[in-house]
Amino acid sequence: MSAADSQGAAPLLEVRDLVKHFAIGGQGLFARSSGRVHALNGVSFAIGPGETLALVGESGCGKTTTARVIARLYRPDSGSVLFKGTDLAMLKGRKLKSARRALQMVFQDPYGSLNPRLPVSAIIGEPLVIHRLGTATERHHRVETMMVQVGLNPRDADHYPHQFSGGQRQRIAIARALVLEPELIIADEPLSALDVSIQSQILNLLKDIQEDRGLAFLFITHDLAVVDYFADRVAVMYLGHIVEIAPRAALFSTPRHPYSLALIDAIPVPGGGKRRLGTATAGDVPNPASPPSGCPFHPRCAKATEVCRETMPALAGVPNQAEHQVACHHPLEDGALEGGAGPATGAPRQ
Amino acid sequence: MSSASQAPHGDLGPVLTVRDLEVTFPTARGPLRAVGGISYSIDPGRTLGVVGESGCGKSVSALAVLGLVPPPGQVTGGTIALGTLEVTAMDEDALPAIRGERVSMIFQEPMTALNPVLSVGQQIAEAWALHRAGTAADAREAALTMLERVRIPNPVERYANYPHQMSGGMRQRAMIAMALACGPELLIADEPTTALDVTIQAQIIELMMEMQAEFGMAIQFISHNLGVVSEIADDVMVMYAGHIVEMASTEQIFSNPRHPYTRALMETVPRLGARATRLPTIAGTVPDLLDLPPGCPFSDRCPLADEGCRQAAPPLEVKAGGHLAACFKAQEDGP
Amino acid sequence: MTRYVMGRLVESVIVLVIMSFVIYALIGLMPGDPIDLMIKSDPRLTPADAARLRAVYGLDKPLAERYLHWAMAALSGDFGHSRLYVQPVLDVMPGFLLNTFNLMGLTFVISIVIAVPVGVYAALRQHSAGDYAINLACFAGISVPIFWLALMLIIVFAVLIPVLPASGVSSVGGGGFLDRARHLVLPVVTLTIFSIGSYTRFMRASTIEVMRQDYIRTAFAKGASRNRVVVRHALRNALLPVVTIIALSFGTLFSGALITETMFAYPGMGKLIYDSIMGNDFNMALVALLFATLVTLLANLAADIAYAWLDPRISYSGGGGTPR
Repeated sequence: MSAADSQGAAPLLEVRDLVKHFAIGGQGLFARSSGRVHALNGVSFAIGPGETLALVGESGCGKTTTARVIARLYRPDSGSVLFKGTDLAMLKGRKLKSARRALQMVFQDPYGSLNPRLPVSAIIGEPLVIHRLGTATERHHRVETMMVQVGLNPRDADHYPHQFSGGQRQRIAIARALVLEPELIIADEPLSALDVSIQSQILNLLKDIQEDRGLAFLFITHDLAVVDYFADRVAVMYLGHIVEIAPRAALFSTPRHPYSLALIDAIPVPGGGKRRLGTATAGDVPNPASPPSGCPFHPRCAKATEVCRETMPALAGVPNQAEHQVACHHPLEDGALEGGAGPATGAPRQ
Repeated sequence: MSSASQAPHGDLGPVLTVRDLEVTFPTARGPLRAVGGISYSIDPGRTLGVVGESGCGKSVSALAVLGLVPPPGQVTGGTIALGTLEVTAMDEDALPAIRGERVSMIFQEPMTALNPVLSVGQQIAEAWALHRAGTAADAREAALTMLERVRIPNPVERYANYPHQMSGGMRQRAMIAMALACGPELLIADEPTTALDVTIQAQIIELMMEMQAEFGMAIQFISHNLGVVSEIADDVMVMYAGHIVEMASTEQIFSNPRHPYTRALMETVPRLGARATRLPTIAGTVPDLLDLPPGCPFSDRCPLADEGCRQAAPPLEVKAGGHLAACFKAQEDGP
Repeated sequence: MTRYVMGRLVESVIVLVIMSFVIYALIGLMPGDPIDLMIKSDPRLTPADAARLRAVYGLDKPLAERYLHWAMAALSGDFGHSRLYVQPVLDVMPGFLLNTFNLMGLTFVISIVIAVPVGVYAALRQHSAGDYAINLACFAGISVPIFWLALMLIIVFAVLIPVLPASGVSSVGGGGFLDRARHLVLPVVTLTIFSIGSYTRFMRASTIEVMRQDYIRTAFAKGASRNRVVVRHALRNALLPVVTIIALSFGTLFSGALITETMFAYPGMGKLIYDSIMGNDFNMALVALLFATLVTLLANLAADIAYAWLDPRISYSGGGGTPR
């Protein structure tokens, strides 16, 4: 089922059938809740030690909710999150805290994710304090080491976040995530808020960390080009479902799900010439509060048939490629990418 | 929509001519030159892509074309002309007549760029009514027609929607409808797809190309995303620290970037299929506009810079046919 | 929306009932009762008489029982007798209510009519001389103690240049409309100086915030004139928070302005509440305070409804706003 299985090692993180729906409430004594946002509808995947899985998708697909559920910021309605064999949802108190040492998170907004009232040394050192590791001197030393490793000047340790640039703040956030020597880092769109020329610096840093420390990553992004650079495996999400999951090279050379193809097609290539008209996928990203029946992509899919409208396809392996799975009644054939056939043309199907 | 809105300016020269434009903001630490003397032009029906990172002056220079530089900023030098009309010499009171009529602008965040308490249809109708004589019913008709032309399904229903009832892509289509309601000769788009999902971005780029084919207007497309610019622009202008550092056709710039900054930008962006072991980076950070080096603004980050670069600012000059760069180190070719 | 309003009305009733008990208990916990005052004014009353009187009025029973007794009577419309005014409570209140309504109503209307345009003007000419002058005036209006202002106005306009009456709601011997109007001038001026200052500041801040928004830039980019941008695009958005504040202060419309009424000996609800508490007129105090509570609750509800009506993004049915 996962790359980790084929290597014979137990997966570091295993997520099974996560379901999370948020209620949209009414107000006042007599109002009813008027619907639910179907954020996650049965998400499953696994990450092996030292492996990087990228979770890609557009707004409303549930990738951030997935990250939050794994980090126990939300509790799932059903499903389990197994970290090194233990279900995180079952843990409480001290056990949860010690599990959290090995699982850290880096967030998207370098401006909002750092406490503006704490100096950088306190921000990076706080995890050590929380887990009561080391003496004050040892912690101080460790903070300085971390700062150097992420490319910051240790003499700035007493400065406050607002005195740093966006890229530097993201380095601080990464240092904070690394200070406990975790085994898995969840990075939720860590580059999106940064300037283009800074993104490459941070990306290099993450890659160095990935290689030097053998860390596993759950890397959430909407940018497929970054995924190609950084990930081992890719999972494509749409409206709370994983619609395709495959090793990186396989996804980009032979995408099997029409939505994956749409995503790849949509990426503008510098120097690739003018956009060919009629290739953009029509229709809007649907509203998770009122998902379509059957396969969530069917309103925008040129290949949709009756069965697509009725039944949600299950994730199934592609013939001869056990690691490549797709949830589609009519998976694409080899060569779909070169043919340039967009998955949907013409008027949107709403 | 009258067909007079098709740009009839075939031989009448560029739609937009900017010469030595300077925009300055007074600050506590001294005057900040957000735009330090740029010159460019756009021909009818062509698309100019403007590329640069935050602080390079691409948005401010565009706002200057409409006379909308936010105070206390001001145009402190140079001229801007729409066709033969010199915008910089115009009275403040005369500017509303050309905004929306001869030049329109759309912005990055369609959610905040639309008035939340007015319906989308009303806002499009207003764009028409501000420059065209007619009754309220005529304005409504015009707005409905525009909604159709930007391919919004169920235009009658959507007319009455408020912005928060529409998705991001739909809102951006409405913005485009609003901008094109009076058939301007020039549409300035400031990062119109940056806030959109990638599949929606592709739709909007296609929509803008289709609209250009139908209305015939020129487009100035501003973005930090090289790929997006490459998909829509005929010509590209790269800006850095308030200056133009390179300007050429799209094919020329992408096949042979001559300015080190342009080259660096292209190399540092990860692209699909080019899995390198390490991404090149640009050393240093975007400069403080109040503290620019005396010579070339890129000289403190440029791998090729020498003393000459740091002392004298290189002029933007022709290096090959139609390909300009502001760099002493850029090679010149024969024609 | 109807569900929402019904729900809020039910909540309001519940709050009123709870408040009636709380106020009753607070009043009852005050040292002294009407019998004490009777004793003070009539030394011939013996403690035995006092005890008997207490039994008659039911003042010797426990608080909860007295409350229930009162509540039962109230439900059938009998709110008791006012000890101070020697009339049924419900006969006494309307007069005071009307006076307060005149006073506060006028203040309210004049304040808004002046504050909104002045606030917008100041916002559009931020940092100009006019803006500074307006800000200064607002701060002065907000900071000046009301009693001092009242006294100054009385001294100037009723003593030094005797053009206006210093107190009361009308001249002795009853007055016509003009007479009552003249009596209202000074109290209204006193109160509006404060309100105008406050509302103008709000309007100014709100307008400044709105003018910074992206949609204002879009409106200019379409070719709208400055006037049109302000009136058609900015004003309605800027009024949203101000409407809420205004609707909430509407609640004071019927609880009156105590200090001003006292300074001008103007018989309004504020004075009524104060006098009845100080005079241990339990029935009167209780009903007057409850009335003030009711008006505040209704004003809150009105504010929420007004906000929802003006801002299409707000929906109390919980689902009308999701994008498709």
